[in-house]
Amino acid sequence: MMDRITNYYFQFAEHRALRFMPRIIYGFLFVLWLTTLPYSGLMWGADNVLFRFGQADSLIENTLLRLYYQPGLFPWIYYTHPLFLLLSLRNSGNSWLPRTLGWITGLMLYAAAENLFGIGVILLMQTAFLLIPVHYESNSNVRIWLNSLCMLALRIQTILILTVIALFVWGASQWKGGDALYYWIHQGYQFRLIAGETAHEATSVLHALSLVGLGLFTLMPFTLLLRPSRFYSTLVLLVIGTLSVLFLTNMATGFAIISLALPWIDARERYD
Amino acid sequence: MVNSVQPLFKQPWREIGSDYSTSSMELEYRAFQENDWTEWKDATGNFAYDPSSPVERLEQGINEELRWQLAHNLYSENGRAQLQRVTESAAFAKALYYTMRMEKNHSGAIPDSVQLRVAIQFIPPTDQAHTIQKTHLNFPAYSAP
Repeated sequence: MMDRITNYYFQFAEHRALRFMPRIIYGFLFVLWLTTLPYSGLMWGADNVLFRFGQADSLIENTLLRLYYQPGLFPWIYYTHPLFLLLSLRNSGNSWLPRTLGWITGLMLYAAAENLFGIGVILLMQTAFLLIPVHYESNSNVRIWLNSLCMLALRIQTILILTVIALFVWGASQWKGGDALYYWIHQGYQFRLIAGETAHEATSVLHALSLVGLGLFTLMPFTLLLRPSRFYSTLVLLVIGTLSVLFLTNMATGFAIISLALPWIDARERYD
Repeated sequence: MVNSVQPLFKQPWREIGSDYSTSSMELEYRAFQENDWTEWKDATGNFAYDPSSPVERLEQGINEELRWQLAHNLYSENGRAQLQRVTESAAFAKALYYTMRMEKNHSGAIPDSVQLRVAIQFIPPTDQAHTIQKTHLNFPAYSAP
């Protein structure tokens, strides 16, 4: 029994997602950084437009909020962040160092302008944190153990988030009533293409789509865990994520949804 | 220790799947220049930023905090709306700072006084006619020190 559990755990180290995930996730963060280039001074520079106040309690919080308190640090943090991200794309034994620095500088940037990318970037940063020690196809026993741990943590993260989303949609009256998408498309700034009056008035279609969404959110944690339906669940997540990247103004949301599906994709999957 | 690591692992799921707002809100302002008030202007759109730009998301983040303040701290006394709790909030300070700094960054000077207002557009329920209902809530003018 213990052997089976041990074998099951260490098989995760060979999961092919570990090969492409760091490239995709740190690549996503690099793309997000690129989108902020024209506006970086307004958000983080000495003449930024965001009111800074208060003082956090703890050492770690205050360290991460250095950029928030001292906008003069902006060039050092802002321009080194993408360099660390690019170095993080490599699958090598010492990639943990640029990944750690890229993660910390990323947290400093997003903590200083937290409304910029919202919840999507928080999830991406958590995924980036879990990928820090990954070195695919390493012969080191410690690395194999860490790779397995990362893979397991990424899968647990996906299931936890999908489960809590399922609980929350049942706690929200708009999803149960079929009105969620109707109210969402009225938040025009969230969409690249402003939904026209026709879309606003297509209430029966939006009602039906909301109920389909409610069903999908409810089933997703189970269908992802069960092998026969796993392929279709990851496909649904990838399609929703890609559509979000294409149509939502906040690309971090779509990237985060895609990151939930990635740990479940492995062409060589053979776990029992 | 738990408090120390909280910012590193702030959980995103609480906001996913919750109800969406039943109104949309824009922050507007006017400035006192050359002994007169200017026209009301959109706090972000006035500076040629597209509604889909990241700058609009910053404004909407402030609007969301103002919306919370209006829902929880706006009350009425003797038939008149009492705004002082809202205007003493961090959300209002952020809104003021945002508009004044946007003016400074784009026109080179901070105006002597500004007045903020929020334009709220209510989204009609699905079982009612799709008519646009818009209202404005004006805040007291603020003079820069």
